[in-house]
Amino acid sequence: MKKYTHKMNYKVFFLCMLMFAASSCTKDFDGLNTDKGDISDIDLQKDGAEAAFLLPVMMNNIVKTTPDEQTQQNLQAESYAGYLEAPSNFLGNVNTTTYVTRGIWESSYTISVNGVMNNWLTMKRKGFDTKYPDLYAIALITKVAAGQRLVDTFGPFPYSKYGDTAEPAFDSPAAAYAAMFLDLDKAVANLQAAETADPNADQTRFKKWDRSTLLGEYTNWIKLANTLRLRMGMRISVVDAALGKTQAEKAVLAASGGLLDATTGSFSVSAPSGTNPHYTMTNAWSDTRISAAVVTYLQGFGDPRLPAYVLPATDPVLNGTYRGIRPGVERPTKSVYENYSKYNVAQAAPMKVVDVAESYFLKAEGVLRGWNMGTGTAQSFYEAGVRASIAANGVAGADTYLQSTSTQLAYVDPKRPDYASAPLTTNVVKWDEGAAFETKLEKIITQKWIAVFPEGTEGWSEFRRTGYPKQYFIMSPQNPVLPLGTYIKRLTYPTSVVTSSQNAYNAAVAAYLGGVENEATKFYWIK
Amino acid sequence: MKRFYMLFALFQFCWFCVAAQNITVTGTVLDPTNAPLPAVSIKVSGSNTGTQTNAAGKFSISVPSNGSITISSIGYVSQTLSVNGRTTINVTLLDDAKSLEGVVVTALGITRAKKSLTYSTTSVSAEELNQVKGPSVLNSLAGKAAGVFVTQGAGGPGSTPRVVLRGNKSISGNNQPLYVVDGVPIGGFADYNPEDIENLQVLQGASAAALYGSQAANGVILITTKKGKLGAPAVNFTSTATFDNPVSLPEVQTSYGNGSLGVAPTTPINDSWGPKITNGSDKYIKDFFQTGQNYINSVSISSGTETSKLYFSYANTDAKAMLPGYKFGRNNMTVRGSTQLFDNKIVIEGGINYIQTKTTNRNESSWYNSPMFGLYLFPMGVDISQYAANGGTVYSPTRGFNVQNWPYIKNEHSSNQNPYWILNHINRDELDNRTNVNGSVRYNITDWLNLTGRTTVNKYSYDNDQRYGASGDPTSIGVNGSYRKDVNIGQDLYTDILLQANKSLSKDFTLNATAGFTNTILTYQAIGNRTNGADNTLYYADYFSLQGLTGNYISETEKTKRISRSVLGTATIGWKDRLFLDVTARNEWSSTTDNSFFYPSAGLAYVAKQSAPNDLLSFAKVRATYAEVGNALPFGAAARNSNYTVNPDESVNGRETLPFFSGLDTINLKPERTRSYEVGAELRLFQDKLNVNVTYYDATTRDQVFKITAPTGAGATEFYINGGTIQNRGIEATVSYNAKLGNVSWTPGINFTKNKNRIKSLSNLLTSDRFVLQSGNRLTNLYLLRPGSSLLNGREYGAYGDLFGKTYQYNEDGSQKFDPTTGLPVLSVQADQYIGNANPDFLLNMNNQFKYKNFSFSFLVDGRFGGLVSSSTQQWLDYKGLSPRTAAARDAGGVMVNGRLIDAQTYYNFISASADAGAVATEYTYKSTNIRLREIAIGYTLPTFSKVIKSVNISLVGRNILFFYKKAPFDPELALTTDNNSLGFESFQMPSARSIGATLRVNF
Repeated sequence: MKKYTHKMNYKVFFLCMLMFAASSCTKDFDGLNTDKGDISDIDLQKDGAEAAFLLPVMMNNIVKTTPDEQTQQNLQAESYAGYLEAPSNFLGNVNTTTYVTRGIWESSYTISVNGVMNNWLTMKRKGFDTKYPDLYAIALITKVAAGQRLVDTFGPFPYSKYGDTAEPAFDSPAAAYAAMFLDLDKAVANLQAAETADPNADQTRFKKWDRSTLLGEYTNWIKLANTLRLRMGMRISVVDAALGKTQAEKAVLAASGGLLDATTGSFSVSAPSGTNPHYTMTNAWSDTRISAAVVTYLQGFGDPRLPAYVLPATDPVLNGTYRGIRPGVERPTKSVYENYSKYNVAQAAPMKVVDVAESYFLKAEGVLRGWNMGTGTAQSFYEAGVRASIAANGVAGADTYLQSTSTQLAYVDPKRPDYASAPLTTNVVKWDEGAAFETKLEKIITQKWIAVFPEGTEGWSEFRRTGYPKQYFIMSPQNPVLPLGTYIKRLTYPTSVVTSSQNAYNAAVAAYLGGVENEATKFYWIK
Repeated sequence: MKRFYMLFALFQFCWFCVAAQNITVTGTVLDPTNAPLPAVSIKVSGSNTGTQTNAAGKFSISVPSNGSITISSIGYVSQTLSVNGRTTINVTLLDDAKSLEGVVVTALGITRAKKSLTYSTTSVSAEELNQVKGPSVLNSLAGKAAGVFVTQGAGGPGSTPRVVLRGNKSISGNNQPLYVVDGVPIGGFADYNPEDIENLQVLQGASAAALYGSQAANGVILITTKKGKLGAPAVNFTSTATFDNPVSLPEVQTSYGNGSLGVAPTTPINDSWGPKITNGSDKYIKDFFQTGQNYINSVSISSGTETSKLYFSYANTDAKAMLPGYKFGRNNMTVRGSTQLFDNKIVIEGGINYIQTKTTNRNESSWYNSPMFGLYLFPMGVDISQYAANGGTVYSPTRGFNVQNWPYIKNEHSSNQNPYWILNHINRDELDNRTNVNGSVRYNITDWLNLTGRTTVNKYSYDNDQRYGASGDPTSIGVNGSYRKDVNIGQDLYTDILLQANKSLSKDFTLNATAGFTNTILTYQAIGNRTNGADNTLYYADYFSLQGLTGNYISETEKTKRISRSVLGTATIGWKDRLFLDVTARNEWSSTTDNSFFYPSAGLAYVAKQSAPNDLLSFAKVRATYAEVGNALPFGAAARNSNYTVNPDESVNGRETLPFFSGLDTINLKPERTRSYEVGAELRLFQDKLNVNVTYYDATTRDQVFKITAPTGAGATEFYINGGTIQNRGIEATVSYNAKLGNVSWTPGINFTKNKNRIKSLSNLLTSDRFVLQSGNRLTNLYLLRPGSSLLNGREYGAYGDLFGKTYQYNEDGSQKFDPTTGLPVLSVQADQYIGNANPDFLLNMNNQFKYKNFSFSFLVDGRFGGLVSSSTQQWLDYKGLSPRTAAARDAGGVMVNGRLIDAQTYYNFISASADAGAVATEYTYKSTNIRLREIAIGYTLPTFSKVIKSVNISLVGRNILFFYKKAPFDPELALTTDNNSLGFESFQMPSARSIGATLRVNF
């Protein structure tokens, strides 16, 4: 019989009378209060599953690998990056694509918080950081991959004190970045130690659990960690030049274990259902189409990747040409833009999180900034990045393309003449070593943007950092803080965060966002 | 048995020899209608001598000339008469149900005198309940007892209504009452055979329920079933046929046709913003439905001797819904028997109750896959018959079969599909089997003390087969179709052992006490396999089979077991039959709750005046009760190491919902606790003709357990938390009258129910001013507000069922705000403005019964006042240009807003948010106040014409006949589901039905 509080004397008397019945009351209760159709901690101890069983679901929640990705980033970052646009007029067209983010679609925040951060915390609470340091390192890399995106999207985030209390304080974006660099240090050290001890350990301990294209190789995950470090170092290259340089050079150092490149391929995660979420959104739902800039840049440059990315439009007014939707337009009914160009996505394609070519472009920019990026020039890294991306897309013509001097096309929308736009830039693909810093930076970022497609969070972040590639402003802004001609800087926190973490939220807004929490508020590395 | 009887006869004979002064008394026993009553027990008072009346109601018995006889029969008031030397005694017995001094069955099946109760209870007789029968007995409960709130579910036969007593007490838990049949808690009561019910007793408060524990915190509905009766076998046959027609179908405009911006479309679109037309008609909506048919046939047989009794019944329900193809069938079978052994020392009872229900082609409601969605939004002026042909299909040469014929399939916040195709190609069949086996043994230790052991096993299974045909909505149905199969099985085992005493302690004091032990074990297992939206489909078109599922389809198994045990005690002490003190106590152990919990109750009743038929005030009683009920935690809520769910791709999900923790601190969840008190009075005036019964109650539930969104960075998605305190206060009143005007008897009755709910506090463990309960229906959100929240709109407390949404904004001078550019109204930024509450302010209903000779006439007027309901259907009708007001606006050249004429389509797209979230909630929220003629019945009992057939009664019955008052453009009692969180929301549901029919009752 379990302990209970004695409130009244007659209760004791009453219970004593029936002690026989009472003492046998709870004997068979143990372990009943959970669903036996699910799997228990004890079951998971067999075959060492407990060390890694949370990793697949964590990988699936950096960029969501189910159609929930729609409200995580398809309707936000992928629109802001100029990659994909919705023909659907969600919420009467007052939605994230027209720059209203408050109070709608919490997934941008909740998916990675619930699916990555909370599971990492579970592993830490179980003491796996010391018990299974190698697999814990994978969790840490996943945590940084997700955490970096959350910070870049929202700004302040409770990264370093996550799980310490029920209402932990938010970190400033800079403090969160610092904590993430430390997590990467630890992850790389753990994996290198594991590799040194037994190069085949990953094959037996981890391969079964790796849902990504990195094939369960610790060496590949080290490369992912270094690529994330290089990306983050570059992000703060202006706001904190010294730290950015240190971290970027550390990432490139041979002893660190290398970067994602043409041999490793992109870091992509397969969908649990076997169907790529963009495929469902494009076909079954008819909720996403190509954004205008993809066609005007790629077609203007004569990019061989255009047919690999885009399908010709089927709307009769477009006569089978390639045509995207300008972002954030008026959509009185879905049928207006439903038959503009579709994203050419294969049903079984995994979801890309970090592109194969990103590290090359980061190194090219590093050289431009005077950092030690190893052997190579800005041009050589730039061209290697373009080649890697073209090869990864299974098309040919890199040599010709690298000599291209044609420019972005004008945008024409036959249904809305007022949405037309002249070319935004005259920059070309061909490298020009004598050009100004900004011209070269624009080339590098524009090519990186083409390569990273359709991973919107990275595309949007780099646009916010550098202003490249030049993007069309939205035509139907619904948010008074972002009038016509301006660009969105961040997403607002979901209502559930504002209400459930009221004090921590208020403190973070006051300390790190200048007291203004809206879509126009800049933070940390935003230009 | 025969030998036993002979022995008994011999004994009787001997006794006759000794008592020479005996005389033989003969007589006839009649019922109130002057029909002879067979099988009535006639006993010589103070002895074991007895006999029974024969088929003609006649008896003959030997009695001491100065003795007395007791005449008794179940269902009638017993009478004891002095012989006084008479040799002929004729008696008319009165119906027990009409008797005001009747006994009532209380918790655990203990029978007590009604006047000794210290709390409120309302009795509903089988006659009232079965006056106008429908497929579910619970629908018949509406308007028949104070304190009872009944809301229809999704509609259609086989759907279960929501029943709530005295308001919603629990936020996360089930607010529905516990159903107790013959003293034992039971699930699936909605499908019981109403003809098996002898009496239904509503125990509105927690006080009467303290003995049932956790499960009874929301009140109890006690059902006493019919048992075998003494006498020659009696056979009852009842047949009901009713016919349903839709009421309150949506109104659509008929003057503007298909198209957009006033222009007819070149390719089909399902908007009705086209040019003016003259061929418009809304006939297609009504024509889509058919006349629903319900046939309920039942037969029961009862017989018994002094020692053994048997009851058997069978009922068959066969219903065809108003939607073609949707059918419902049910078979109920009951056998009950009892026998007495060893000179009534041991009484054994047992029974089997079997229910099988089969629902064929149940249709979905709301947006996706609901036939009403495509039907109600069909473009005006287009001929639907072209799409109705061939079951909504057309031959596809490429696929080689008939595919859905509908040019409007488009994902627009919901997919629009051909309603005829849905009827034929989206099929859901459900098969329920429920077997209840129960038995009890009572050992009468002495004439005042007995020991009873009871056990009930309730085994149930549920089979669900859902088939979505190929060529369905591509957003949720794969190219070859979708399939879902569930098989659930469960068993509820309930056992109790009770020691009961009933004794006069002295001349003035009586004691009625029970001590006992109960054990409840609930086991459940569910297996489900299904396609995952459009991500998977079937290997072959329309091949609905588990081996036909492709890819990583969803596969789930659930296995749960719950045990709860308790020890309990109850005592009623009576003084001079006037003052009664009632105390109860229970300690409960539950496998879902870490610690055991205890709760008591105490009540007092004082009968100030009784049996004074000649006074103006013939009876008066006052009562007061205080009761606590603990509520065990929801399954799994307290588990910190719960098992993990596994995905079809082998990956394992982390724990998402956990009991509240802060870093390393963990706080144990406490069981919810409702503390309630009630005071009440019962008065009878004018020779018991006028009855008044009033109750005031206050039930406050503390430590409400519910799930909330965890703060960010806490480490869980949701927390289970002891989150708040909710109070329900209210008044229940019943007034009835018993009038005789010559040959006409008139018995009117009025029930009044008022409940006020308040959220007194929310947990201090968290800082937020609101907890979000529901935010998914696009029109309104359900929040719990902390006292002091700015969203309260000046109110002191929020209430459960408060609705929030977007509203128009006003300047400080009270004038409305408009956007200077567009001219459209300015709306609140977030959908968090207080709109009102979904629960009614009060219910008022009036029942009337007239009897004249063989005729009877009764009707029930039911009124529901206050409360709001929001309608997604009306929102879509505005968006699609189908609501009548959109036509009126177009006739006027637009909508005049703040002096500016705004294009009608622009305006209605704006206020309806194109049918997505963000609409002006107040535009689509309606007062649910309505007064309706809920039931009507006209009956005639044929004069006796045969010895075999004892009585024949025919009645014409109707339900939902007309609305005397209704504001909403639909039946406001509809609710999308019976979940807590569907309060006040209607969305493309099957319309309500007006039923008219006839019932035939024959007694053999």
